[in-house]
Amino acid sequence: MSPPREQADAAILVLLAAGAALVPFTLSGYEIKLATTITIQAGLAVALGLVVGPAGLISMGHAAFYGLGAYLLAMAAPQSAAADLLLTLVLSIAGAAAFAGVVGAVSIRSRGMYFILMTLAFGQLGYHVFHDTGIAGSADGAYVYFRPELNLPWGTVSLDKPADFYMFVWVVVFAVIAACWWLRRSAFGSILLAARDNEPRTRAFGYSPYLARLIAFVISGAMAGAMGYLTAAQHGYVAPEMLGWHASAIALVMVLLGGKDMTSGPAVGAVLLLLAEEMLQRVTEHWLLGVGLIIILVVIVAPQGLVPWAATVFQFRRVRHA
Amino acid sequence: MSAFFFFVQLLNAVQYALILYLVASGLTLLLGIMGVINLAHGVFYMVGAYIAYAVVQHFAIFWLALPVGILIGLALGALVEKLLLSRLEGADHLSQVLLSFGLILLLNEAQRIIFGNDAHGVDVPQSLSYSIPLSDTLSYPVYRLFVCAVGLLFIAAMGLMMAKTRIGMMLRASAENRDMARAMGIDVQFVYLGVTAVGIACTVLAGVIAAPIASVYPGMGDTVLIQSFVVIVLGGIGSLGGALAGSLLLGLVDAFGKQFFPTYAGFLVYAAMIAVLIVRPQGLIRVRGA
Repeated sequence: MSPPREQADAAILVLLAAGAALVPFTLSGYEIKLATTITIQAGLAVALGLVVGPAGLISMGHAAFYGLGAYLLAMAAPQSAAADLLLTLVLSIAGAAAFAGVVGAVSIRSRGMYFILMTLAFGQLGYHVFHDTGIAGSADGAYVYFRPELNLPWGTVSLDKPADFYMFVWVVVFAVIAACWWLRRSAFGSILLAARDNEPRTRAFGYSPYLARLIAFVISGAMAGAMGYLTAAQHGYVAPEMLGWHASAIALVMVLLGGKDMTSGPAVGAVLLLLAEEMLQRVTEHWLLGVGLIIILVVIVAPQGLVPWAATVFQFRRVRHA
Repeated sequence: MSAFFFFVQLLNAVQYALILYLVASGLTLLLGIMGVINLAHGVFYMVGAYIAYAVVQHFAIFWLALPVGILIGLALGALVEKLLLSRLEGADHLSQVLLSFGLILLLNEAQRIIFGNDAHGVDVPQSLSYSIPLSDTLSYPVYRLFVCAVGLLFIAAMGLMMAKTRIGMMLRASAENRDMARAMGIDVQFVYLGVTAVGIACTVLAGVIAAPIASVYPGMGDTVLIQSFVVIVLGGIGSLGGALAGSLLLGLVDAFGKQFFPTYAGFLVYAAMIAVLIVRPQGLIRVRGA
């Protein structure tokens, strides 16, 4: 990425973080809950963007890691008391990372459309495990009866108030986004880019494209698991559909909508898609029609995503070519 | 397990496999010849089933749904190629995946607006609504045999077309080497249009003839779509013969899996696909553009 575009990327992220930090002070009630959902989805989209963008892997199974993270909380939480937040969060992340390790180790050997179909198959496998076998409520889903509590050295913090929970979500999500931003700029990010653009040459330099991609995939899967955990904690309910391929496709839509080549792209994509959904839902019960049209339009008009597209419109590129 | 019961299951497996083949053959041609991943393929199966439902509702003649379905399928396919896919040439798989996902949302919602959320049944046409008795307790519905007949006819027609006709030759040439085919004077754009239109029409037809067997409901194309992907990975992308073999295998796994391990039938299918891709990461047959 050229310096001006990198600056724009960082600027958008700082603006997003600052804007999101104002939410509990300016909004209330339903709007805070909506902001919580949007923030979590932005985290998921940025995490997925790490594998779609620099690693060049189109994962159609990321919802499986997201859903697994959610289910692990539902299964680990006691029925009559609040779970320990940090302990269960670590469990969800570790579980999602382990599953992503297995899926990645096997799938990354396949390229192109085979990788897409492989991750799709793994995602559906995960969906059917929770839908058919009855390990956690089957098709009916499972409940998290009490929102987990934060046990800190100086006492227990309840996150029952929407504003408090939102602040916790903000911290986790922007930690994830910052990590993705740093990873993309790091030497590791450069290896991923090199492997995506010229695999034989990367190998000749002594790097393993397979290993680099696998590491990115596991990190991204672990982050997706954390986002699933947050969703389960927010709604107190998990369902097998969280793992299905429709959910994976929606996450990909957010990545492409904003732009996969910048860290800020998927985050912006998530915000725009969910706000558009919210507005369409207020107008019509057939809001999915609008979402479908938006997706088709963006793919045809701005296949690089709206953030780079806007950057072109605002002539950022002129600086780059100067 | 009696021999008759086994025989009935076998027939069910073959019948389901033939429906799956109708769907998968279009999907595999789109992938093999155009390199397009069409997630919306399953939705067109649903469109076919709803066409059967609507035609039977309004005209009470099931047979009318066959030509209507094929015509609507051809028109929809041509529209999808001209308006959407043709704009994506040279784009990556991500664009195709998302474009077709947008199409799924669009068509699913259109279905909800027109038909609502209820599941519907379509009556088996009068002329075929009887069963052949096999034993005292078992019998086999003739309509399912009709579905098998349509499937076999389709296999024969596709096979002949691919092997013997000029169109088949153009298809094979375009799949093998797009640029060379173009240089030899083949109108590749026209081939793409034809493949998309015919591929989607086959899927719509599959939905029409499956409607009296399966109930007609929103999202019914999802299972068929994912299973068709499994079929074409098993059989090798772009290969019609492979798709047939894959369909039969999946039909057997599905029919007998549901009988013997009802809980695990759902993911046996995906486990099979993952197993194949572990052994052969680029599919059973290597194809250009994959």
